[in-house]
Amino acid sequence: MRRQIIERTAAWGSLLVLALAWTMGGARVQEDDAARIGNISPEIVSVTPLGKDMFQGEKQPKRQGEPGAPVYIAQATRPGYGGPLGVAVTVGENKIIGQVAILHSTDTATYLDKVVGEGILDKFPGSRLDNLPNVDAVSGATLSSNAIIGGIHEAAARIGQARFGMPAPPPPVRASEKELVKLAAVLLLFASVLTLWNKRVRQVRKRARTGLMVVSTLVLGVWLGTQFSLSSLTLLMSGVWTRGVASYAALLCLVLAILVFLITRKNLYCATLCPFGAVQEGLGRITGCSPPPRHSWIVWTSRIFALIAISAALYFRNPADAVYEPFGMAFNLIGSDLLFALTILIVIGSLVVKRPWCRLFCPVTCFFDYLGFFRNGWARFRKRKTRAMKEVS
Amino acid sequence: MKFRKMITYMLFLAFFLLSGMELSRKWMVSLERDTASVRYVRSLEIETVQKKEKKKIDYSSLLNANKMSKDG
Repeated sequence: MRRQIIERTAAWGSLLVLALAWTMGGARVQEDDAARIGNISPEIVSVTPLGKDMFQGEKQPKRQGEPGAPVYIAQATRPGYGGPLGVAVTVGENKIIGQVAILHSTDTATYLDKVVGEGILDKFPGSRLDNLPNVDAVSGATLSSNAIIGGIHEAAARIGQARFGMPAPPPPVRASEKELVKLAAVLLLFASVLTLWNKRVRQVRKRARTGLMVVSTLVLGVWLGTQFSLSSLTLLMSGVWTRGVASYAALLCLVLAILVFLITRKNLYCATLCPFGAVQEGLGRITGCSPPPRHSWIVWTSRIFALIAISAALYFRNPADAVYEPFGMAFNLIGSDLLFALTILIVIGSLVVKRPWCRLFCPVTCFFDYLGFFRNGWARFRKRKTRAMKEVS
Repeated sequence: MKFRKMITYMLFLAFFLLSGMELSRKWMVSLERDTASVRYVRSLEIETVQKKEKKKIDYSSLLNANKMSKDG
């Protein structure tokens, strides 16, 4: 009884914490684009808006008394990996790009650092508006690269059209073929899981589950790199996804996993489809190890940790701030040195205890525990209501 | 304490510390990021300033080298 009270208080209390973080984060964010654009260069002064996403400023003259040369600034927003990514371009009267800048982004800092480190931005300053360089996306961070390149082209074309009578910017491409393949693959895998848990296929379930785990690891993990994480959950909760993201596959994965959990009352995503879980289980089968003990203090520590991570990400309005799972590192080798160390530790640990990350610290497990609490509460409520109705009749 | 229990506790502690450090790093970056700030600016002026600075260093070293060779 006491445990139930503690669980109930914690569940409603965490909802309150999340709501508070979300509200405080909303008050903190001030989408003042003019202020951001004024900060691109100290040499550009008197920035005034010219129209939607267009500004005009003056380049500070070298000698006092001389008039400042006009500078045109345009911004464009493209869907990045974790939400909208805004870039700005400044162009002088000579049609040459002076500066390019990333104004705002919710993509993981490691991915952005990789893209900027490869010199994508450096290729644009100095080039003419009518002859922009063709820049390739950086492998492993394609969505962030495409958002930056597309945004710069769009912003440059916007200045060209408005100030120099050049053709209008082409409309952004909505969904790529790879994105459609990702969505189809996610749908197919979830359909397979539901089929597998049908009572009629009970005899072949064990083998089919192993097969599905292998397929999911190869398709979702290695090939498509689509796996939902705490950042997908934050993305869904914060509402950033409504302003556009480059890939909806991880979100679809999350929504389908929740639906399957509510329908079957089983966490089938973690048990069958999670590529990282499948890798851990595969390693564990080599040594035949058993699951680690899951004490209540371990469970509660990991839950509180996940709650703090989500709250911070909601407060900063940046889903990437909630990521501490090594999924990206495990399959794409992208992430910090700490995530690399974590991945190595999990791989070695999987040979000693079964699924150590899933059992001890995975926030997705905590999320399904949380969801299960509310689902059970709802089931109890309905049962009580039905019983009361029967007694009355 | 059993070996498996000890390994479990050690793994949990390592997960906690590594994940905590990873998150605190990210939050520090987010805290520093002001709403008015702009990240990753690439500018034409910055490149030309760097080039000019390099030229200055080259001239002074050349002059010194000439003087040295005349004296010698």
